Amino acid sequence: MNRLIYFISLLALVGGCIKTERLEPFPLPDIVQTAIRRVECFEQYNTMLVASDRGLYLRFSDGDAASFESEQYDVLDNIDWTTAQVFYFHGRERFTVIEGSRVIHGTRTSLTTRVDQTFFPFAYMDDVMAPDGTIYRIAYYEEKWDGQSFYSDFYIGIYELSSLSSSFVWDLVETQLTVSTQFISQPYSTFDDNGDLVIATNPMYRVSNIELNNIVYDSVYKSGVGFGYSSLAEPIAVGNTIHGFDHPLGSIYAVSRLYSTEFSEGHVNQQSLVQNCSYPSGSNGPSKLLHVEGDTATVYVELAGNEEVGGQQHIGYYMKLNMKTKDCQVLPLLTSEYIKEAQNITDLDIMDGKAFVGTTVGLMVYDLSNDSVSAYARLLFEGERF
Amino acid sequence: MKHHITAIGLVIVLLFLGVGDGIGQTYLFNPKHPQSAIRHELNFSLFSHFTRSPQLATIHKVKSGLAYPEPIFNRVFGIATAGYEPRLRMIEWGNSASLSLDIPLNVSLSLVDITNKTREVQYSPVPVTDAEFNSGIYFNTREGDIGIFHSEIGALLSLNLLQGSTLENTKGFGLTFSAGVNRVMAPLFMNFLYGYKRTDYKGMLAWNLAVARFGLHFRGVAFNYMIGVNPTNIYFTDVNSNTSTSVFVNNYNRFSISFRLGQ
Repeated sequence: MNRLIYFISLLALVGGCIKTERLEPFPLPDIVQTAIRRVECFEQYNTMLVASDRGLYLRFSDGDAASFESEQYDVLDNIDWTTAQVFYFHGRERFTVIEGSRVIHGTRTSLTTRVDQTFFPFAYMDDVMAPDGTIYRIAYYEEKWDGQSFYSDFYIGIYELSSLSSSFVWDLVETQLTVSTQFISQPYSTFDDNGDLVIATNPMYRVSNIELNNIVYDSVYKSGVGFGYSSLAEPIAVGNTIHGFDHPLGSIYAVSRLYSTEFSEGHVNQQSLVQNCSYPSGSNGPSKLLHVEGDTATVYVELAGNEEVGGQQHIGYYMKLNMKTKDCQVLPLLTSEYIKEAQNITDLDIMDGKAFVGTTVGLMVYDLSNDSVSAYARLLFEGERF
Repeated sequence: MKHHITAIGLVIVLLFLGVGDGIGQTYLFNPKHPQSAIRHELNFSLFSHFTRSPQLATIHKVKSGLAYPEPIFNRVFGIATAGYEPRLRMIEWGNSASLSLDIPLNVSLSLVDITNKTREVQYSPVPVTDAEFNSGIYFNTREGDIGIFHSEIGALLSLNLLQGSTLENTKGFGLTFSAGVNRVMAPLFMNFLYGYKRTDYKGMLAWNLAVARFGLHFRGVAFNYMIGVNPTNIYFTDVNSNTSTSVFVNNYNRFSISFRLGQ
């Protein structure tokens, strides 16, 4: 009898086996289905920023995304995405876009804009993010001439992006770091493995403490046969070695040389990218630094028009450059149904073996392992999460 | 807690009806005398037969920069259903209780469509072209229902009590509790007016679901209610109202009346 009771109870319980599922709306897609202006991937965090004619699309590490349409956020229409600097701080899941006097913070739920009124006396400046998420602007704040020398000195200021909601976005920390007029240039900067700020001017500075009235730094002067720079553009610190280019990638000047130097007095070694890497003549050289892993940098080599090689239509190249051994590996991006012309590509970045290609008609995903291409929005619809 | 109270209540009702009085000797099915252990039934239902497949696909409606996913499923509405069901008693306990294997076979005049909750989307699995996708068309649709008629075959294990549980039971009232699997094949006939082909809808026209059934027997007539026991309630956001809504899929509901053939 007990068994019978048990069986009946079981039957009654079965009626309660209702499963629940949820299909959540996700931001999309029409923002990434129009002319793309900028694509920035942060591979270590699996996050991505895409700016298009219709707005801003932010993809976070868990696959969730946020869309901000320019109809609602006018500021997005006024950004020059070709010159904007984009940062991502994983600790707060926050994207920061700095362009001109505008600073935009984008999170999962909000997009805030600040317009800066800080006065910068000289146009030379570079923005860089510290490992703790603090964003600094390295810029000259004063010029001094001793009245005797042929050259004057420009003093480097370390401006910290203020967290206070004031119209003065940058807080200046004055320093005694100087650059002579003869070497005056953009103070390109980066943070090394130890979290020290490296300012790749000549002299080169390594700043280990940034506090008002307490700047701790080392400096080294550079010279030698290979010395032909005023500052290293887009510096990359690998251990004690600093690599950089002769011009910023994507600027109007063709990038032709890679510089490498130790943080010590002495030579700067240079490598001719044109000779060593033999990228095609139709290109303007490396146009964007895509990824750095150890000594290997991956750069995008843009083409002005399609290039036919061995019966294949190439729409661009990505180059793996070992900055230590100077080895180059130039790999083509092939034409496809989605990307027929090189000039349709507006920007590109890579993440997890895929190139996210901004085009004049939308964002495409180019699988570098098999050269297959699909529209980003379409892959999202098919359930793929990057 | 609610289910426990229901179960306890059922047991009290059964004890009140005197099920325990007839439980004694146990008899197992004897293949040499199958006719003494099989009961045949014909069942019918009218406008009371409804089932949905598990989720087959997801469509996306796009509005204001958001993609709203919605589930797609095969929806079957049975207008009139008829079935034959042999019930093979595997074990009998005295003359008041038995355990039987039931094989319901049903054919239904039904309307079948692969659609969404509001039925305004008649889904087509033909993938959209790149040109369509780029112009804002994210899924393809059909013009008419996918087809008509459907069939089902099931395998249910039933606990039969009192009337109908054994040949010998003479009570006027009986109960049956069943659980098992039902396979739905829908539609039987594709909509030829639009030239729909079965091969284009591979994997969407047949499915299995777990079911339970409760039957009340009065002499040679039984009233049965069969329900899917592990439906999925899918919550999604309605694109027009921007409010949460839900739809049950992988579900089954059928109320039927059956008549015993012979003893």
